[in-house]
Amino acid sequence: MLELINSFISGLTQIFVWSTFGLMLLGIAIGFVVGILPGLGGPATIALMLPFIVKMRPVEAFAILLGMASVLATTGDITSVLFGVPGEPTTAATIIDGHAMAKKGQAGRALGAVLMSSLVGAVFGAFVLALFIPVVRPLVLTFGSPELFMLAILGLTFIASLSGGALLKALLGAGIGLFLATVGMDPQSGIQRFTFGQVFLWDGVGLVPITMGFFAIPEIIDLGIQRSSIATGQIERLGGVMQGIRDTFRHWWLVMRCSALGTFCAIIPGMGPSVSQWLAYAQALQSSKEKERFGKGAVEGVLGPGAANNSAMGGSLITTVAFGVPASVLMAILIGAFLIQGIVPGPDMLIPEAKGGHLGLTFSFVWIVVVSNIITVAVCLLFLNQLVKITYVRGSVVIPIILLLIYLGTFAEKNAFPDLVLMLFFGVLGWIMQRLHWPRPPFILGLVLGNLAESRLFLSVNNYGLAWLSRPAVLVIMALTLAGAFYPLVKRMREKREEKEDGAAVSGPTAQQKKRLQFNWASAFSLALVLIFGAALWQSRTFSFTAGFFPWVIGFPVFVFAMIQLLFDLTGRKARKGHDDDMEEAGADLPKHVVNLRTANVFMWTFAWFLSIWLFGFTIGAPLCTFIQLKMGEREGWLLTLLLTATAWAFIYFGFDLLLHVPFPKGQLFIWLKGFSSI
Amino acid sequence: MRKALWLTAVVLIALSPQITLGAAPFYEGKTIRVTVGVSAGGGFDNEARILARHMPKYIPGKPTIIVENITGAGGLICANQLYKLAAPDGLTFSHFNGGFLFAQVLEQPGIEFDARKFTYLGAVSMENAVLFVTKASGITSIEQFMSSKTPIKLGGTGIGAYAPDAIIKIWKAVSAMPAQLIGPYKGGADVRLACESGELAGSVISWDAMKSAWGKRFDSGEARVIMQAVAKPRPDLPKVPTDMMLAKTDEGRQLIDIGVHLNNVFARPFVLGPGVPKERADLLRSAFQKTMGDKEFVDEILKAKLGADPVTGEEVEQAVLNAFKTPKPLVQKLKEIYYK
Repeated sequence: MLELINSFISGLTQIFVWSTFGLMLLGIAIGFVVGILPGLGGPATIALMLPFIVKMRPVEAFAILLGMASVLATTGDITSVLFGVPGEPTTAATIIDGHAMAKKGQAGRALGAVLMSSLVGAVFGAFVLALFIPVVRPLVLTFGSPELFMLAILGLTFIASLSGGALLKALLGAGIGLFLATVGMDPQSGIQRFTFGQVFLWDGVGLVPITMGFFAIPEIIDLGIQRSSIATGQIERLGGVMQGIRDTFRHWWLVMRCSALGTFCAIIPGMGPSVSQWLAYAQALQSSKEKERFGKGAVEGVLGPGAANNSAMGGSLITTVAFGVPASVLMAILIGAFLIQGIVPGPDMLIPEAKGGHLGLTFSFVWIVVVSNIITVAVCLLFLNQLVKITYVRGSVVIPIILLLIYLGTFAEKNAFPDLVLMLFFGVLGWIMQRLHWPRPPFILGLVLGNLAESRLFLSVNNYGLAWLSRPAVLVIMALTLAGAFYPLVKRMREKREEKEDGAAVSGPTAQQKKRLQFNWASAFSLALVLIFGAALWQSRTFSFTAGFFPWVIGFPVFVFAMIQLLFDLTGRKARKGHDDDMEEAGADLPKHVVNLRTANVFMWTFAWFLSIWLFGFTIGAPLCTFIQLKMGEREGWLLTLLLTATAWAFIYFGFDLLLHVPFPKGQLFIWLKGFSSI
Repeated sequence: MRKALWLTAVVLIALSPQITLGAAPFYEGKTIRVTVGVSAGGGFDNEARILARHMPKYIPGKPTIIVENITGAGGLICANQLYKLAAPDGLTFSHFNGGFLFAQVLEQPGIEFDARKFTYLGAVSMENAVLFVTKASGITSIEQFMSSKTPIKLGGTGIGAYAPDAIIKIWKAVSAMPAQLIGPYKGGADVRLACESGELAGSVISWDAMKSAWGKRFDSGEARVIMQAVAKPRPDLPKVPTDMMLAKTDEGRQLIDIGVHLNNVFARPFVLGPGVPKERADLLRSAFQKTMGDKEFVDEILKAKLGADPVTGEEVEQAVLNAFKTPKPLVQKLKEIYYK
């Protein structure tokens, strides 16, 4: 016990050495810039630091690396709130209510809330790491494949909470997400599922392009329709940020719960901040008495994910440090750093120095995370008011910037051009779903949990046959799952009964509508789903049992549900409105043809960017499109246009090309020209 | 006239360094890209990064070498890109899983390169997988393993992965090895976790990874190495039997020879794309070779717990060409083993 405390304190004192502290500040500074700009990928930049840490002492090396990593989630939240573009894939959930608040002119409050909850989450996670060190190994080792599978299923029950009233659509969305997770090479049987011969799709569909397209594209379309700045309405009172901070303390238990959720998920191999941010959001929603506020700017919808994605750092460090199992690409790089330093992650990291271990070093990590977060939040608070001003810049200038960030962010994740196509595809899908009032979070949750569920199911069955179903931990989680699945349903049935007793109108088809079938966009979308799933199931008829099991178990119910939904849409029956959709729709006060025109306009520019980048490459294509869009599309002045174009070019060239060596593909036009000249 | 003479003199003087010393080396002021087929942070990627720091010393002109990660399909995308997109100017080379070179022999779909046209710079280390079991499994030797009445659960990472899956499958095909391949786990780290929790009894991983990731637990007996998948026993594992002992027939011996031991040679290659001018390719090969003997390089490699058991470019090339000479019936047999 005494050695434990010794290590705890020595960890703290180790970081307050000038060289170490200075490096930590440097790491924070770099992480700040990297995190706030989607695309300057955290992992890529940290990988760049690896050569420099070779000569440092371990605590110095990790001061800079962890200083960077700790900051990423926090600053990623800032981008999510201000622009509706996920700064990191783990900050996508913050967009839903955070960006909604920004649009209402409450950006300061949203940022204050997200920063404070991030800080609380990070500190919580770090201290959990510290406290649980003695028990963490046995705890994690009890979670074998069967337990992990059940946890994935438990995670899926949160879908019900995320659906608001549109349960069928939520289930469908989740089903689509789960099905999409099967795309790629099935590691079980080695066959290709739904890849259409594209080697690019072997690893499945990437989370970053999907998240980018799904959330960011509908946001810029809304922006284009509004033709105003991100924030409409009055300028927020200066106390906005402080109010956000107060909100964090007002909802203290929520923040605590979501921090715990984030830490716990991060400890579980396979889950992590990508999952826990949505579970936290669902938690916040479920525990609120006024669920309709969510999606329109409820501060709890910001607090939950904000805490969860930062507390994940503590949890991820546990699995990385104590087991050498990287929870994410970032953690994998940290393990690489460990190895370069000659340290082996494992039980040694949890043994005090007095007994020959590295516990003091581990505790120094804890302290670095805590101190980095405190410094980051303090710095952010200083600049917050300036950041908030961005939401008042006119949309015509902001849209090209956001497009630049979206394209760069999507590409820089895997350096794969086809990701841009994927992003566009999901951008269109996300927009359709938003327009037709389909809740989007269940889809993402299905996607991130799909792989975990399938792989762990097969590992369990291969290993234990069916005996795993009777393991004690499995039974406990199963009970929780059933409770979690049925509780919201029971609650809503009760609410519905109360509504009926109050004589509230049940929104069914009116007498007139009943007479004819509604052939509208909603029906068209449902029909498309039916057809696509039909085709997918048909294609999967040649799969072997192991390859086909998951697709069939998911695909057939989805197919049936899609047909039911089609029926609902054709007969005009409306489900209760979900919460994801109801920001007062952009342009609700504008005539329809104007909305359509502006929507088409934004789409056109989005595709123009794609074309420009494809033909001319990033370094030329992006600034080129910036220029054309600002000058000819938006008719901005020469000075502003040239300034922004130059900045875009400098950003790409110096930041990505020279510094990060991001391997941009050559513009197609130049490839053709070269082909011609060699003839 | 005078002016013209002056001019000529000036020009000659200005050019004289060029004329006397010869043209500047090709690599001067240039940047070489090493594309790595896996994401940053793992041993594979580290190998490339450490190489990038030391190899320039041995290339005339001392270019900068940078590392780029081109991930996807386990490294296949990187390999395909090297073949199809890299300009044949000697400014790009790759480090990807050499298993794909053999996969071409086995006619795996998705291979868009011809391994015979690559130039091989060499490898920092041969692959040197070992079979290990946990203490909890109760197995202490390969004989005990082979005589077990119940199947022993070994972890795998997926069809097509050379180690551990292909190796374990080949072993099972040539002997009556009572091993049950449980997988796929997402990666070696997940396999290790499953071993620690008792879900698995062991697996096959590279000896270097064993020493680094398992480290002290290996020393303390938590994990035991009971067989090694190499042609000649490693100097630091003199008593551990090699897997050739499993083969009882000629075909069995050939399967292990080609499927395992030959693959070891080109499992971690550094590869130059096709069409690079011979002088440049030779220059890079020799620079690679010299780097392998560079003390600082070896120190860094060892400190990062990577293996330093280098193979020359020529040896790698020969091994690859030999792989393509595998007789058809064996290719067929290996295809069944790998992909069933």
